Amino acid sequence: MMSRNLRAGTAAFDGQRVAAVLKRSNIGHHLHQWQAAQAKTVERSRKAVGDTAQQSLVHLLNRTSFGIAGPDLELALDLGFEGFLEYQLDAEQIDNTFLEELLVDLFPSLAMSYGEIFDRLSDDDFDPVSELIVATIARQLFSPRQLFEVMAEFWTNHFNVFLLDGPVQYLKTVDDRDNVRPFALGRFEDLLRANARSPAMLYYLDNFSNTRFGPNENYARELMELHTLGVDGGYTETDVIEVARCFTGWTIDTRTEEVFVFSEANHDDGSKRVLGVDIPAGGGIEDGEQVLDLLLADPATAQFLAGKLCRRFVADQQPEALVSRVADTFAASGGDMVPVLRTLLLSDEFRASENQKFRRPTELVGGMVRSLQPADGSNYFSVIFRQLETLGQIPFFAAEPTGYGDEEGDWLNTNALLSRWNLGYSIAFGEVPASTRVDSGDGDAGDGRREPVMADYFAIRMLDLLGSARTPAEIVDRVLDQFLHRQVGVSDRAALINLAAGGQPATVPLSLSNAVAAARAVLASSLASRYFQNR
Amino acid sequence: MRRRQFLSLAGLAGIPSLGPQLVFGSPAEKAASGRDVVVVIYQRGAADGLNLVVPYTEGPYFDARPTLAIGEPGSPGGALDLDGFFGFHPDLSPLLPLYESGMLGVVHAAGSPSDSRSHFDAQDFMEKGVLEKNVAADGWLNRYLAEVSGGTPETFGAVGFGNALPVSLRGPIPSVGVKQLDDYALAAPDEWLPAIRNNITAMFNQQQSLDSVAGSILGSVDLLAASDPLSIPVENGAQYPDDTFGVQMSQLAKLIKAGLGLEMAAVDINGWDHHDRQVDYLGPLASSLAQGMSAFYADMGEAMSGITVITMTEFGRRLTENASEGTDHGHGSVMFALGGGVNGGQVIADWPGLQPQNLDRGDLDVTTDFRTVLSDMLINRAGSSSVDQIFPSFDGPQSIGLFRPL
Repeated sequence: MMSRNLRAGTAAFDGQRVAAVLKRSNIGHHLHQWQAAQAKTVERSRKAVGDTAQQSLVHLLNRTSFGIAGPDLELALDLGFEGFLEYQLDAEQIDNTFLEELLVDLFPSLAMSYGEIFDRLSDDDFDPVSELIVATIARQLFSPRQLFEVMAEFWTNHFNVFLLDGPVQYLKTVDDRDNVRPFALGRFEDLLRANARSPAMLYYLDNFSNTRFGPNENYARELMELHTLGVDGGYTETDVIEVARCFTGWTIDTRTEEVFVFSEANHDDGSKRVLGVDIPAGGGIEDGEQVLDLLLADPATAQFLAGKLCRRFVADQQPEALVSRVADTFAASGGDMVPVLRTLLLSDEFRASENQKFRRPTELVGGMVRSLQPADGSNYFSVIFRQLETLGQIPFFAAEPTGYGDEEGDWLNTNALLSRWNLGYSIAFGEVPASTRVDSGDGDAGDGRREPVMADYFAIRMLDLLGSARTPAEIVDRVLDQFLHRQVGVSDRAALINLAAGGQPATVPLSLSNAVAAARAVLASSLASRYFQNR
Repeated sequence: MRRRQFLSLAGLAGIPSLGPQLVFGSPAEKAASGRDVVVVIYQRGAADGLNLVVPYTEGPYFDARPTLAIGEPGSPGGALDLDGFFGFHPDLSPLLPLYESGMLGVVHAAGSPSDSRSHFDAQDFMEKGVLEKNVAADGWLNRYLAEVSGGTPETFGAVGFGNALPVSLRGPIPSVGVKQLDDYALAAPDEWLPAIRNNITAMFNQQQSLDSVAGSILGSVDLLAASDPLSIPVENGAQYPDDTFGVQMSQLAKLIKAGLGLEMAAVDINGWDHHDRQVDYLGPLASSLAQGMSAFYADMGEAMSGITVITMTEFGRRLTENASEGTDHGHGSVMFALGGGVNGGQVIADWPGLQPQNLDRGDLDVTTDFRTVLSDMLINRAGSSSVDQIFPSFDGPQSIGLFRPL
């Protein structure tokens, strides 16, 4: 049915394309200006680190954002735990105009229709793939609607579509804008129905070629295993075959405005039996809709989604009592994320789960940027993208339908932790060769006479971070307060003071230059520590 | 009753019997223990065994795959004959000389008897050496590592390549995870390095997984700095494919040559889930697999007498192609074994046949449990005496004649 010969096969991708988009748009500078303007309007009301209320807010922010930015913590302190949660749940009330207008201005493909995108495919400088990646990273790092962005990423991953899978390159932009993001804090039913008709999904899971002449089971299987019931949700191999028959003829035609079309000619119009329910012959497109109805009403779907949300927000070993309560809310609300997230995030189990989630690369890199707020002029987007590439979590790049893993075992091994430490060390110490940690060729860094160092890309305002702290103990407490926003174990604090003191007494003030050097070392070790690697 | 056609294919193929002259290499080049180094290649996504090792005399194969069938040997783009019944996909040609010299063997209709057609579950079960949930929490290679190391392995005793440690290696016994060895060093400035290392030791002391991995980092960066495996050249003109799998096989060879006590490694080759346009995808991937394995074989030279490479995949593909010129999830597939201890030059199969009554819900049946093949390897090439623990609840045959005893 696809009339335009969109290229099949996995697209070649080179990080230089993203580097070119970063350079052309100068997005890092624009966002910095915006952020700096915002920061001035926020009253400073932060309490001392260690305050119990602050600790629970730090926990909430750690799980419902891509990293703790100072202004967010101050706002949370003003609003309180429930107040801040309600503020984030009512995302449309949070003014995001500047960011969204900026992104559309810098990346016009974000606002285009399918037809407008297809018409520009032969243009050399048209790169919707890189624009979508950069815009998504920008939203995750800078949007004030952090919980919304966390959920947008959750659903993107739940309904995973690999961006480089042939024509998905030209279909995902609209899918992201129209089928995922509008429902990030909305109802699961809307997400599921939109995704069933999504051209990107229809291509990625092959339903576009699922016909009565030769059913393709890929979408049918993943619809039940990954999108709704879960692998233990009680469906059989026969159900997979029958569901595939129901979705025969759900395909794509690039000549149409919506691209999704239902092909009567390719639909198997015989009777089917799905999950014990007879679907009579002659239902046409309603066969698929009826399957979605059955899956939405099945208690296994609420249970599966509740478990996945609890693993996302609470712990890899999800507390089963909480899963049951979240599943109840899910079922009672028709899968409405606002009450579901309320049940989840206001639970005792959530409050008791500090430090139990290993940061995925997205949250690791996001946390560095949001907490450290690199100085303007630095070209840190290049660092961000390259690190997401190295650590393996570029947005939309999970090739398998399962999406990116969400548990520690999916991200932790020797090499991965070493890379994560080295990112922290190189940013904190600054004068470390940038070579493999950035995209070469963006040309802005360094003064041309020496090899670029990390500080040329990701510059930390060390004097702001240091404040008036001069003794090793003051320096450690200041870095913990300004950066980690939390206390660490007694022996860990002693180890950091030892590091800052370098064998000298912990209470004797250091010279300014030695204090800055010590603060860099303390920051480096804090970034490497469990207090930052976990959240 | 299911009809079985047991084919003892070594005889049919007219391959000369394998004499001891093929077992070369000096003991000094083997692992110090005398055990083979075990290299496990996982083809993620469920590789199509029927198009990798083609049963080209089977009529139903051609009937079921009008666009995808690989033709008979001698036809354009046809299979490479192995034994008068099976033939390699043409892009596996780098493996043909290894098969013909008896270094490479194949087991067909192999896989897991588990009914799961879910990639995630089937991979998880297979890597844990079981058929279902809640039987084992850790990977089969981790249990094997426990046996060979007595619980305290060399730092590089087990290496898993990739972004995360493969499930087969996960468990209580530590192993090193490598994405690639370039930049495998601590990036702190020299003047701060000793203090930073002391700080790591002080702050990663809670005996959680993070602490164990932190300890592996300090040990492994020192060993790599001392042995510098990246400076070890590729030998014997080996040509690794220019992709992730090729880089990782090349770096694995360097790690083995560096003499760090490596006992086992797990390497992934991704992307075998070909629901559509299989012709476009399977050939290049088969080529990468074959080139990577044959380059590793060439590069390791005589040391291959003490190395066994084995492949596995979670399940095979449906016999009948779908309307997208691809194949949906199936059941039986193939396993390849390469090394000096392999009774190669044969396709071992308790061949179930491809007539409708022979199939498992439309798929090639599994007649050889993957744990039979792995047990054969562990017992004969590694002297393992704990196969019962490595594969809990497995009571099937522990040998299929694929490996010669040490």
